[in-house]
Amino acid sequence: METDQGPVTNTLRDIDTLDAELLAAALADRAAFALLYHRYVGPVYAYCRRRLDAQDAEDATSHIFLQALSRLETCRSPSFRAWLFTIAHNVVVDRLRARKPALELDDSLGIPSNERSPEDQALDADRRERLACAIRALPADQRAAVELRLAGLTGVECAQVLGKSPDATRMLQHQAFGTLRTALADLSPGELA
Amino acid sequence: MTASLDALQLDQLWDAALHGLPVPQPIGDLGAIQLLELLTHTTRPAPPAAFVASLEEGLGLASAAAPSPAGAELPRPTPGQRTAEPARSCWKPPQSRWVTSGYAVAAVVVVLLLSAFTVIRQLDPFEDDRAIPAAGDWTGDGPPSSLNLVPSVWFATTWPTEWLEGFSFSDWSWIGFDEGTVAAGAHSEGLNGVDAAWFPGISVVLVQDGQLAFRLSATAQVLTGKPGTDDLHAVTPSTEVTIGPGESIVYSVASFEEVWNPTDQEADYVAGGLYTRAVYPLGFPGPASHVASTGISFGDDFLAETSDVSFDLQTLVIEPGKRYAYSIGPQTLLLANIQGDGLVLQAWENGTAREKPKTLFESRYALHQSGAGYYTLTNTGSEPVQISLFRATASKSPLPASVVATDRSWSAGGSAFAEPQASVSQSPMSAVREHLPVGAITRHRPSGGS
Repeated sequence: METDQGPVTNTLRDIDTLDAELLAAALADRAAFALLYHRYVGPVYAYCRRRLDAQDAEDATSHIFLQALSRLETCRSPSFRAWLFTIAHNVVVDRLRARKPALELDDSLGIPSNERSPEDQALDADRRERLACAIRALPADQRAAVELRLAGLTGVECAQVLGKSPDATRMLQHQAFGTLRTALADLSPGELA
Repeated sequence: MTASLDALQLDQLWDAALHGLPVPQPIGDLGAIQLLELLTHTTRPAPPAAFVASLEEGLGLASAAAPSPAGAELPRPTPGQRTAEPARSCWKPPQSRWVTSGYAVAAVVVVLLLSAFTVIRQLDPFEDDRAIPAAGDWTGDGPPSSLNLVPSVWFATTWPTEWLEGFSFSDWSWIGFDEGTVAAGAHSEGLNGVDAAWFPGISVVLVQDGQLAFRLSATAQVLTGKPGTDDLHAVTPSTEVTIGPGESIVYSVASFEEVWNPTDQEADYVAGGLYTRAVYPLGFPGPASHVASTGISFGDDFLAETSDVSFDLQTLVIEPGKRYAYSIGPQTLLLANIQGDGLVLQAWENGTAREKPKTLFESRYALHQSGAGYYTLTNTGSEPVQISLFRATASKSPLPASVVATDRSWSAGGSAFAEPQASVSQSPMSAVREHLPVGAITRHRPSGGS
């Protein structure tokens, strides 16, 4: 019996295959880790930045890649991304436990563009802030699931990072999605709702 | 509120949205799709470029890695400077031992660089006094055309920004590249079967073998014709366009409706494009129809104040011992799909190797991440390596000197079918600009292989 392998599955397989190739290269030559670093420094930083202030996010990102580089041999996961974000999740959680974050998501989502009108920029800023507030207001486990999703992880990878079953993770993100949808319903009246 | 979308559907929809792929099944809940679009597109804090470069160096990767898109101008403080002045947005070593480790890494790097230089000289089948320009002089003369190979298929076009009404290039952030074989009769609704208008962008598709049929809802720019001749066709709305071997189509994604293989034979294609989010040019379902794809985001400023964008698609074969040269400009994006092992990437500056050579595997690469400059790909293996390239180059104004210079640089890598001494003036892109108006499409399909 053939399994359903649509473009999503194929793309994810492409990503995992490429990551596996790059990981093998990095195990043979640590300098080759640069390729994986460039693939994931953005998503990892973004994940950290959503939970930490800018300074802490940089520090956390540094620790995450240091740990990853020093533990490459221990990567047994079929998904390098899931393995890397497991480290990232643990580093971020440790930092949040160590101290209350001084600042969260204040300006992390603001990417002003000179090409946009002031009105558009104001609308975008408002939308970003609304999104950020809504995500912050989620229960911790739902928020973690959403933020891992925003970092680019699949549902299965999120489950692996969070140490939950795929079904439980799906329920978490479904609940979070419903909450976000309610909170953001007025962003585009008649469409989101 | 999400009654029409259960947890499993949401999971699948989110997976598809993250990777810019068609939804697994028809989703009538447009509000859910829109919210996912908001989530995946809006909230993406980016790391400071200086921090990325600094951490890269701190990890001891800088000498071998592709630098950040900002290029070589990024400040790279020495280990001592980092410790003495841990400026924000620069990586700070978590332990002081990194100060000494940094020097150790630097020493290793020096040894590696010396070794790399020795290796590249041994590999180089050409004269020692060859003139490969400095990285900062990428608009100058390119490497000797004798270094380069004849692409088996080649396509280039320029797309003025005014052809994309309502779309702001400042929103664009994704370059995608796709190469595959389409099964007989396969059908795809492309980037997004729900509403392609949500994904403004430009797609360039080149058919290598077989045929592909497209249906477009608005005017598109299409190239058809026999090899050696060029025709520019505007497609009327809802017209079916079928292109065959060596033929290409360029279209605004907003006008895209569907694509299919109308024959009972497989079709091979290469495609690329620029988009507002992570999508791939074509989205044929089925494991056998999609052999390679890659994509990478680029900075918001890449297309700022852009008047037009040039696209190049090439496929070529690098025989063992042969080298292929190309250049990267400050506004060049270049993706590659390499089929075969043994290629070694080397950056050049002032006629000498810059940084250590990097081995490329059979995979997909974003070659522009190595920064502006001149590069060579040398096949150090024993088997031919096929490589497909998709390049986008932004121009600040119509037909500026820099555009021609860019074409010269690129054509140095793709114009070996011209006489070596005339490679600049007779390069395909230069010829296009001399004889056709801005926006005209041309194609060159030399009869020879590599």
